[in-house]
Amino acid sequence: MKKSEAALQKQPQVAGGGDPEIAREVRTIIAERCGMSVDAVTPDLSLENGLGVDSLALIEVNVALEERFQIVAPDFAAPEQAQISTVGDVIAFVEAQLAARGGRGGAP
Amino acid sequence: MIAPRTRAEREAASRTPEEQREHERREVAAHYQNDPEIFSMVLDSRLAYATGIFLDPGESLETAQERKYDWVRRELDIHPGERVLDVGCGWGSNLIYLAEHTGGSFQGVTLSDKQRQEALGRADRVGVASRVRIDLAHIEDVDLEPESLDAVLFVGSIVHMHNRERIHKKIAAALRPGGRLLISDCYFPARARGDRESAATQYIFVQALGYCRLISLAEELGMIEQAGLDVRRVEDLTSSYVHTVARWIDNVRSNRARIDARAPGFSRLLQTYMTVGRLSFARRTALEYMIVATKAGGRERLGVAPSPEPGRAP
Ligand SMILES: C[S@@+](CC[C@H](N)C(=O)[O-])C[C@H]1O[C@@H](n2cnc3c(N)ncnc32)[C@H](O)[C@@H]1O
Repeated sequence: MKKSEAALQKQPQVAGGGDPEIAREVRTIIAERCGMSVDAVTPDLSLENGLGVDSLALIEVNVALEERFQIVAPDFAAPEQAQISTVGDVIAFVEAQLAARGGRGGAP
Repeated sequence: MIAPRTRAEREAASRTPEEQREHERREVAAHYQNDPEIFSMVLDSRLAYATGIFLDPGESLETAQERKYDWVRRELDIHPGERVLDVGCGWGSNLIYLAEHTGGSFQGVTLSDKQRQEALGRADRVGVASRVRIDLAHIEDVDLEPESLDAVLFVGSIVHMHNRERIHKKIAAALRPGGRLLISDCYFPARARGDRESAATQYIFVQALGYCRLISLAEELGMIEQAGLDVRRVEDLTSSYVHTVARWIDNVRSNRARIDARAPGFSRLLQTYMTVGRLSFARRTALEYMIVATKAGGRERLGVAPSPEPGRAP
């Protein structure tokens, strides 16, 4: 599947009203790791090209999200493996993981 | 002279050999001076901090490491009373396995006193302490008698050493005729793939591990040959390293809180550098090889080690 198709399939999940607090927290973590302001980290931003960072920053985002939400995430730095290519995909992924577990994860 | 490929190597090249040795002693030791208890949550039960050998992706880390220890044992073919040097012996994974399974006498060298203590404790517990000695030293500072050793191994350690040519000459001189050298470590492909100056590379080579120098396989083999040894075999273990590191990362995940309780933030460093490593091996921008070389003379060794039957889809 092409990345753009994966993104299209994921988009409705995001638009379909996830937890705004989770979305905000995910965007904050991405912003911190990538040296951007939270407002600039919009759901449509591409991880590969939009964030202007190398694979280390993406790996750091991975690890920080796993730590914060106590989840296991695929490598965002290896887009050929993960069907997650935008910030919105990341938010949808985290929300889906938390929903599957039936909770919000541990304290920050 | 091999041209430097990374910032860390250019800096190393600008130091005198003594300064570089001091740099390695300090910067490389720092990682291995972390609490051994942490590594016991991440690695196999013998604490190998290097690739195992997987035949099947479903195997356990323990199985893959056990296969590697046994492979090393067969390659080194240590007879009773033979003298073995394990350069960069870590917490004693290979050294203690070999002491338990052969009648050799063993000298390990490490830059970390915590590793030395842990390895000595383990050797004692399994009853091989009388044949095991471990020195806290940089290998370049260890005196080796000419033609005094039957086997030398560097497993996951030579990558930390900048002055390779000097080390190869020293080891080759210390091997007896018929002596064996085994190296298992990480190499760059000869033709560059990927960005060797990336932040990810700098993170793993410098921030996490202090100092690493990846050269190409051919360059390492060339130095071994120039030092007077004959290459016996080379195995590509890159894919096995992908699975080894994946197991380590899973273990970091499931022990995150316990690791950070002992060293705040260390689980993050481990997972980050290991993920960089796993992706590099998976993309083959870094390669993992096991090299065996011998010094002419001594016992004749015929045959080749059998290659396992390739796994086939059912
Ligand atoms: C990744 S660990 C591998 C440990 C062990 N060989 C194993 O496979 O489990 C690297 C080891 O090399 C040692 N080391 C690195 N540079 C060294 C040097 N110049 N002299 C001696 N030991 C060194 C470190 O102290 C550490 O024990």
